[in-house]
Amino acid sequence: MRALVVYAHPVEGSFASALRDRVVAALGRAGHDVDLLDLYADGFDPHLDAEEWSPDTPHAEDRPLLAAHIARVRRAEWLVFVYPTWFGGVPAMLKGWLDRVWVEHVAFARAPGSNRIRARLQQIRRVSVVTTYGSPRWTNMIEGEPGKRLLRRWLRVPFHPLARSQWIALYGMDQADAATRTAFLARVDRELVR
Amino acid sequence: MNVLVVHAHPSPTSYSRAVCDTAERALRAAGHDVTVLHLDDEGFRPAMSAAERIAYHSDTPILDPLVERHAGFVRQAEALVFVYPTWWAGPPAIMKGWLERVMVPGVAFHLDPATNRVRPELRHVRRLVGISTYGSSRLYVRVLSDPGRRTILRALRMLCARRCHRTWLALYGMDTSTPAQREAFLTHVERELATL
Repeated sequence: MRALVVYAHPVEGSFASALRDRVVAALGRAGHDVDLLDLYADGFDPHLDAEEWSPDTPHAEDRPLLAAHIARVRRAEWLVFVYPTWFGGVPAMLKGWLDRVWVEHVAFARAPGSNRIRARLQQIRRVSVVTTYGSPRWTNMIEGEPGKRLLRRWLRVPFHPLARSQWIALYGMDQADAATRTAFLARVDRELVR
Repeated sequence: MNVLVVHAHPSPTSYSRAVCDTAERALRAAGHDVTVLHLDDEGFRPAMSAAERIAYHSDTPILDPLVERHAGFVRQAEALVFVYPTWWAGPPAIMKGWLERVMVPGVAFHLDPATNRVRPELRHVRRLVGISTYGSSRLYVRVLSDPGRRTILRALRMLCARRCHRTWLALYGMDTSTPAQREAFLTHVERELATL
């Protein structure tokens, strides 16, 4: 499958960067066509500004930088998100990528006069998330898992109706020892391409 | 009460800005001490930098003077009010980044040195208010859930006073709303915040 790996962490050498490398290697070994999008390394600006918000500004598809991102998303059949969960959800860098690239007519469409959003990325048949949480699982249950709900419920709307969804998460990173982290890397290897 | 209002919308002529201005007016009329942060006007940088990530668990996690200024307002606040348009099920990146970069150890919480677990530091925040507009209908948001609301009323709430009072004000179906509905929502916001 054509897999787009979307990665957001500012520090090279972080555990997240190790997860990214594992993910890319595992996908490559299994024969998938891998496209890595490293938002921080690419210097992506996550801020949707006033000019972009204005109805007079050309649509994202007609602006070179965003058009390139849109083309990569449209080409993908499998999306893999790799990021640390911060404040219950995706880092602002990744949220901004969704705000700016996953816009109307790209990710979804609406009939005139309707609020219902319709899928526009039906070629995507698989979505996987590899993430780490500083806090334990029970804390995140109380917090209500905003990041998981964004990716597993809302972001699913544009995809193929039978798209498979996969959640591979390490909870309690702040308390985790080296053995736990190593075991999680092995789990990513094992589960991702299954 | 000392109230900090945090607003995110890129356009100064947006409806979101009108909602925020209405909230500010109602709070001032009620005699509160109000600070409003329009994150877009302030040029707040949404993404945590590599240097900030590395400093995050040190004694000085704040490196940016703008973040330091905002953290000062947070430390004084007895009420926090968030106003934003819901984009992709939550606050715009600039507000998500504000939570990540301002609500850091030493401001919003600290990690217990023995257990490395989060200990709240926003016990002075007794009121938490979220005000948002949605493109989707109320039913659609209910079915798919509301991650933005959970971020504010549940995740952030865990760091606030034990008996912190929470309020959520929402206008759904924004894109098909009538001027009368939008006007009615402003009145609703004004009334709710007058009795914070």
